[in-house]
Amino acid sequence: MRHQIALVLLVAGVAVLLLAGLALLRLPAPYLRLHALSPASSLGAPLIALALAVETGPGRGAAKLLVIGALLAVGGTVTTMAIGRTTLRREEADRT
Amino acid sequence: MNAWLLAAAVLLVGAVGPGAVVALRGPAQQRLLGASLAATAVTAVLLLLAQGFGRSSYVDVALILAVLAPTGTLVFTRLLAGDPSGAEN
Amino acid sequence: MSDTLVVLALLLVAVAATGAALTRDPARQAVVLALLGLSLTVLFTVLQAPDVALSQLGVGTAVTPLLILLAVRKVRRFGRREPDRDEEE
Repeated sequence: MRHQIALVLLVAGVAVLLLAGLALLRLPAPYLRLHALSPASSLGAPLIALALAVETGPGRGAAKLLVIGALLAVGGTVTTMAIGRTTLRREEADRT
Repeated sequence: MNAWLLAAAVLLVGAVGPGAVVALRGPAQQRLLGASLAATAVTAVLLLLAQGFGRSSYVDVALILAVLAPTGTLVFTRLLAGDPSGAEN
Repeated sequence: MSDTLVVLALLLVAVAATGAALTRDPARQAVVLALLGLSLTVLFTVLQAPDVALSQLGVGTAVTPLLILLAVRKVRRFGRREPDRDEEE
């Protein structure tokens, strides 16, 4: 039963990451592309970490995996904000 | 056949690949988008490899990457934004 | 299954390394170099060498691009100051 739950979570996470990859390739504008980046890091990768934690079962290993998932979510959000700000600054610099 | 390794292979093609393609084209801040998607996907791949090979110590590599990738991107954005002359090239 | 992963990682390294060699602008090249570090990390992990992957992660993803960006910044500042001095004289 636990294995099945882990597999479902894994498939969901992989699907989100694949969609993000496809979106990054297809979307044309710089700011639209940011929307491809944030779900990948705040939903896709933590889902995979959660799937692995469910598969491992309760214990230190699972806790470590969950910490990695949380780190990915926080780091991805910060990264998206920083890249958005840099894109804005560079566009302003190009315009002047 | 191992479901975890299969998922890692699929992610390498479907998420790291597009990230690499985006990272090889366009201006520097657009390349950063591709590089950070690739970093996120590689972290997931490393986690899956640790489970697939059955070595729980491989998780450490993913942990270090999860810490280093946002730090590296922040340094990049800082240096790219603070350098107005970079817009000329 | 493991062979497929090795082939995929090798392909990724080849693409990233070719891209890094063909990119002219150093600021953009730094991003591609970060990508190259990531793909080498995956390759080493697939080849069951996580300790090498860890050191590659630190050097290739964080330190090398940072060094390049800092060097580019320094050189550009120096280059910008030179013409001004010529005008004053």
